Amino acid sequence: MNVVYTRLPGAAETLKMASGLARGLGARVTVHVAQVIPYPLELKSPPVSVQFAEGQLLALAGEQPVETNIQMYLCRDLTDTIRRVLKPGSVVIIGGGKRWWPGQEQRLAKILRRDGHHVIRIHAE
Amino acid sequence: MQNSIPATPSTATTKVVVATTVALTFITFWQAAAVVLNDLASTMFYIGGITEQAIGKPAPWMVLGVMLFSFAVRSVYMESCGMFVRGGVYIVVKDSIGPTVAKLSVSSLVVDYVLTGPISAVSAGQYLGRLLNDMAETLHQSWRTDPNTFAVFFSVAVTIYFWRSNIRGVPESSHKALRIMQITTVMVVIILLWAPITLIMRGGAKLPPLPTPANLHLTNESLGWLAGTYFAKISFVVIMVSIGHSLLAMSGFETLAQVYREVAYPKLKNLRITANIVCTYAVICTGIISLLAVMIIPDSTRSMYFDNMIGGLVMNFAGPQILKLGFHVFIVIVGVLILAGAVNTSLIGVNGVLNRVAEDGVLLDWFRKPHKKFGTTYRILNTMAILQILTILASRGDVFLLGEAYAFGVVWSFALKALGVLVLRYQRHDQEYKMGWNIQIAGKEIPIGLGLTTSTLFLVAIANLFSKKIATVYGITFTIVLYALFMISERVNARKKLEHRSDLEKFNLDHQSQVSAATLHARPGCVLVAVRDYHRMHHLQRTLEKTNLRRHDIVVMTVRQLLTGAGEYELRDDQLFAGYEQELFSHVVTLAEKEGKSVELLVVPAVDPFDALVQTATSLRASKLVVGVSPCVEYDELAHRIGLAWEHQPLPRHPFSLEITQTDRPSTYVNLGPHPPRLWPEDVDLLHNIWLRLTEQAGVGSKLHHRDVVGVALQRLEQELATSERMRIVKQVEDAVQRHEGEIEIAPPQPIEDP
Repeated sequence: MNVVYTRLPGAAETLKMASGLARGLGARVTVHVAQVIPYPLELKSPPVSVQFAEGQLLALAGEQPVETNIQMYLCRDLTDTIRRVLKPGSVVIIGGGKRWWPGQEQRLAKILRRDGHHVIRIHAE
Repeated sequence: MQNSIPATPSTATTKVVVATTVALTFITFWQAAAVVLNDLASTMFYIGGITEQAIGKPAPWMVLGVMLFSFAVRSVYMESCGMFVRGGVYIVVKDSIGPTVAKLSVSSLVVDYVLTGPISAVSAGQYLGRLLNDMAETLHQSWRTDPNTFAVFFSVAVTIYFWRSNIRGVPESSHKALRIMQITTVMVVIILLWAPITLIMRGGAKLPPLPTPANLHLTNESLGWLAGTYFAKISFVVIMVSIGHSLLAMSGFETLAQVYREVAYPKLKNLRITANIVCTYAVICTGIISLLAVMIIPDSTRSMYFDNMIGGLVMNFAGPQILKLGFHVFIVIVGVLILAGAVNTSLIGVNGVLNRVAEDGVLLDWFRKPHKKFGTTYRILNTMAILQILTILASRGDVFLLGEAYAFGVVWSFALKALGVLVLRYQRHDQEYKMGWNIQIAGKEIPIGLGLTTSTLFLVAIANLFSKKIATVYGITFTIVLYALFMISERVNARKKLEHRSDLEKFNLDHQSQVSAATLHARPGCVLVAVRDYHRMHHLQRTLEKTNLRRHDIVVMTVRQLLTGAGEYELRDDQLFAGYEQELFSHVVTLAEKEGKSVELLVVPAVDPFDALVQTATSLRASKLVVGVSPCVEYDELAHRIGLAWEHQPLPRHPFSLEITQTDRPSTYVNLGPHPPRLWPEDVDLLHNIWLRLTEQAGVGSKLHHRDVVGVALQRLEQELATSERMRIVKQVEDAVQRHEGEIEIAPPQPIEDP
């Protein structure tokens, strides 16, 4: 089971739900966190320090009842990166806030569905 | 870049694994140009007014001239990018002139960034404020806003908004740049169509006076300390001062160096296209539009529009008022988008530059302390935001004042960068691109083009130093403070032992029980390149140069050699992927990004490296395995050992070609598995002669082929090997091997290179 984060806030709720589902299915959770780095910054120098983000994710994942593997990507483009790292036919859970306009998460979910993945959207802030 | 995958089974489960990697995606020249133009094209909104206030009506010619000069500056950046994939002004100057001048260049770049925010935000505020006034007038409303006061409030609000975004680390979409430039292009096209119609309807166009010393009217304010002196009467000085007032039209070129890392293959060619798009676009949108503004807005009212020249241009177009107002609204939306984007870029840029110098120990770690909640370097962001807000308040919404101060950072960072590239002409000889106009005198290359560009930039910088009082006082004060901070930081940091290597890339460890093409995102037929020594990467370089990624993926692997029996135990991450592997793959990534081609990375733990290479090539169904010759194993020995490893593979064996690369000679190709041999030239002659003689025999004739001759010869050889002749045959084979020793096959059996 793959969980995709587009931002850290709301991540705890999404992961909790994914872990619950994964436990029921006996699956393993892989969390993909894509940190988009603006062009003036080098890819290895993200605005949010890697140690900090890793620490937060580690604390978050440590609370989960199932085996959790977290992959963080420092990238320029969220959609391209997530599409590239997912294995064919993956079960993907995308967290995000509930909005009336199509946000980044909705667009990503649409593209991943088109790629043949099984996408579940979770509203979490 | 991709994951590194161990081939040994991973039986034990790990509850939590956190891994980080950089995911390089290469961009097209259109995307790269959009990113650069988001910075560079923003100047079109304010340059016309600033320049005309400083030098008078010929200002648009000067702006146009500067935009044409940007083609020369483009070449300077291309030459530096060819040498440094990640080379901004700091890297180039540090490498060429030294750390002291590099610190000065960074200081001037920071001045540039600190002022980019205020000038962009204030200019956006001016456009918005004046639009509100125009709308009130059209709607016959009596209320008006003071544009300067409005601009101050607006720009402080924008700065705070982006400061907060950066503190929270909210990601910005990279595609946004392209979208903004698409909208900007729509605006530019409408202006370029509407302006000639207006001129035709008015009965003709009158060009502004040419920028001759007689036509340039420099005020005491624009002459600065030169006012009233002998120098103010020298035509050359007047021209240089005028260029100095127009040069900030080129601000934003540094972004070209920043995006170069991401530009796709062929990198330098695409950079040239990117730079040409950027310069051409800038000539049209900044140069031509400034010219049109002076031609269309009447002299009597133009001063009213110095702070929103494009808004003024539109309101003076021919056509119904409501249509003009509608387009004015559109222009302000575009202006706010692009100018507000420049505020954000300035905060991101300054954060990036200061973090970069901090990695070199030139800035105290205190500044890099991450925010407790968001993990961003909030102290740098706070400092810069405070400086920007103070600058906005001090300017009281005056774009001209900000423009005057802004020029300092722009011109000095350009001048020092050009000097760095010029010095490197004499220090290094690996320039992939050289600026034109080079002549040879007594075997020595004289870089006329680069020399002239550097001299011009320095002359303009010196002219600015004396003519722009505000810029000089602001810039020098800021530079001295920043330089002192760098010096103190460096001394403090020198006392600490820096063990952390910040120049290494970060890689994920994605444990897989087996190597497979699917998990690596490598298609069957990929090229597998084995690496072990990052001082000997010639074979990888050559593979990157000649492989067409549309046909073949490149997988770079290294073997983590284990002792016999070690494979029985689960390996820890640091055993599998130690510091050496990280350094090795960092070099691989550097080569790949220099070439603009993606590679997949792989670590395979194994007892026998040759077995691991062959097994991996088989698992990936590679078409070719590329290895470099090591100092301890000769190429024929290497081929022999890999060949033996192939023979030990279970049936059916996957056939592939082996390329052994040496630095000083052509590659050697060996086909592994059953394959038609390539005969020695004398054997081909012999075979042909035998075939000729046999075809003369009755009953054989034209039905006989060369392969039939070889077939009979081989059958007879096999039979004779079972007789007493065996020893004689073996001796003959040994003689043949000795005779051809040292001769290598150089033609690739299955070419996969680009045509």
